[in-house]
Amino acid sequence: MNDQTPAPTRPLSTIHSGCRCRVVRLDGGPNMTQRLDSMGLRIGSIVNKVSNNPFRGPVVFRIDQTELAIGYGMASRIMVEEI
Amino acid sequence: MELREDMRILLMGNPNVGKSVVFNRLTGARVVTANYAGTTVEYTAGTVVYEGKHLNIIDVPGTYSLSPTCRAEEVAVEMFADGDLIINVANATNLERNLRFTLELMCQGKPMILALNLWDEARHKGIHIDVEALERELGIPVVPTVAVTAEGIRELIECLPQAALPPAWCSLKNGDIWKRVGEIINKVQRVTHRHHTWIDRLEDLSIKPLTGLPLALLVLAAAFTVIRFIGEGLIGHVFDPFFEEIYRPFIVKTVNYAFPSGMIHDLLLGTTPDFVESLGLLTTGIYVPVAMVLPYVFSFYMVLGFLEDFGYLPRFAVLVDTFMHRIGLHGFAIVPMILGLGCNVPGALATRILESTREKFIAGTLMAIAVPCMAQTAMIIGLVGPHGIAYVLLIYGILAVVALVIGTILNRLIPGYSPEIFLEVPSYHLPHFSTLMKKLWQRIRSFLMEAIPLVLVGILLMNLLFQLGVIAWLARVSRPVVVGLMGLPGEAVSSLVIGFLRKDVAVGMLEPLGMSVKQLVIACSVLSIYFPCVATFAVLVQELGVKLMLLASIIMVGTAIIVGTLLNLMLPELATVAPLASLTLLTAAF
Repeated sequence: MNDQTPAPTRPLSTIHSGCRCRVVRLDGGPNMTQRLDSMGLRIGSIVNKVSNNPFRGPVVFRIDQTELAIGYGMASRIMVEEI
Repeated sequence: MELREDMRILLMGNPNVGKSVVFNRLTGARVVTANYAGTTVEYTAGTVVYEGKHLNIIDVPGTYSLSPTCRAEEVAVEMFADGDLIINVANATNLERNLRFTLELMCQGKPMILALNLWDEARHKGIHIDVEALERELGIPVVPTVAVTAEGIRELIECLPQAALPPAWCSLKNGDIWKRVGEIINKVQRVTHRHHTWIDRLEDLSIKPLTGLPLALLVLAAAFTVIRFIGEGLIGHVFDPFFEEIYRPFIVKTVNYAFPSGMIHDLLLGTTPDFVESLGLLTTGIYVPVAMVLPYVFSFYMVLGFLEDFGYLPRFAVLVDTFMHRIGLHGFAIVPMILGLGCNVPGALATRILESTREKFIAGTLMAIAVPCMAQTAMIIGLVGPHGIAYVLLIYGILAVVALVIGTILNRLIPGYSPEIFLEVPSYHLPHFSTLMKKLWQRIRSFLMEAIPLVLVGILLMNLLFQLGVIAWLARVSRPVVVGLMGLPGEAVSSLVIGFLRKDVAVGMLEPLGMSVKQLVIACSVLSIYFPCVATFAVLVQELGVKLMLLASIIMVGTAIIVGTLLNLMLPELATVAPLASLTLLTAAF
């Protein structure tokens, strides 16, 4: 990825397992933002994707030392760019 | 600060940082602990002695912030308002996120101490924290602890008078808290690289669906095999020989000597020599809870304790999440259900980790209907098992289908939606043997203390009801349903009556009725579905409220009648099968 073309912004739910990405936007209400914030996820955080589950199942990722499983719906409102 | 005896010292922190282990160490109490968020859903109070003063200390459920998202977290925030001194327990392996909560607490302006628990684990992971620098940065005392081995606990107690009011800069707004956390982390923490271990690899393998699902099946199969092997082994080699060869001659001799015949003799020993059928206080009353149920309670909690402390349950919860949504729950609701397999009471309490009333209602109702406790399971194995273990599995299969159907219906009918899973997945830990044993003993003790008195009361009551002719009357009244619809003998109603007190005695009451295998399967299923035992009922009323529990009760009784009738119509007559044949039968069924 070179500097002229920044990585496209995609929902965390579509990222492949094993990829690293940075959070650029949270498309949720204050409740979601606050809940994620208390777990250490905020704009600018680096997230390592661990797994997806079939049939819109939960999305698992690691942020710092925390491994977190969240629903597909919330994961699709966390916008990230791969790094 | 000066310590007073009327002070309330609170242990607070993120979930699963070991607050309860610290609490047990500080107070000598025995609170059940496990490796996942939300093990503590109620607060527990104890005392710690410091220089002759008895100080109140309270183990508060874990919370990620002071804005609660479920009942257990609400409890934590309510408790916080009344606290005089806060011991903030933090996970040293995850300092950054834990410090966010520390700063949030500090902003509230109460005297605080920070305990950095899991200190040994942090060192293993190559995380170095400069404690003195952290104390300087925060302005409150910091004590590294390893609660499982009691390291640092003495220092923590001695530190209590030094608990300090947070410094003045602590009026940070939410956005600034992370900035401050970042600054502190930069100054006090250094992380060195370390190689991945087999445990790290296992963590990933067991949560990715492709490898995780086969592993989950393997874990379940292994768990059931071990539970059955230990349970059966204990009964066959320890409890039965003891009860037959030592206990029976002893009590028969003693009772016959004291009361050669008459009412008291019959009350103590019953009228038949059979331990299960006699309904004597000293025969059935002791034999059922101790010789038939206890071995399985022991083996179940041993296996569960290991899985809990290893950290497997949250991973299992993630894997079953999609499926659980079909019945109106999310994956983590599987944890109360699994606890319910041991005893429905802690299972029902654990529904507090669920966010909405809707979820709690569905989970509580489904547990009462379809999750038989170990006491009940042990008796089903004892009674139905001899006809073929396939029939025991058939009963479980019936209950699973019922849970699925009722869950789907409730999910459709109850307004609202099921919240999504939001779950921290802990690292795996190899459990400490002594912690496992203490927890096992704690659970066994509470089983014995709660079960035996209720079993004795149940048997006493049963004798009374028989004498007064109440059972005969009930059998006549319920005849259209019990005999007409479910095809059971009228006397089976006695088992349904006693099932409200203890399900294990209730299953035992089926034995003298000389029922066919088909009737046994129907009776055991109905007995599980129709109503929870009184202890579970009380907890569910407390958790759901009278109104919802009334609704749940109607669903239970209705389901029991429908399922009993359908089974009576659909099941063919069943024959006793050998263990090997039951395996073939089971394979054929799939």
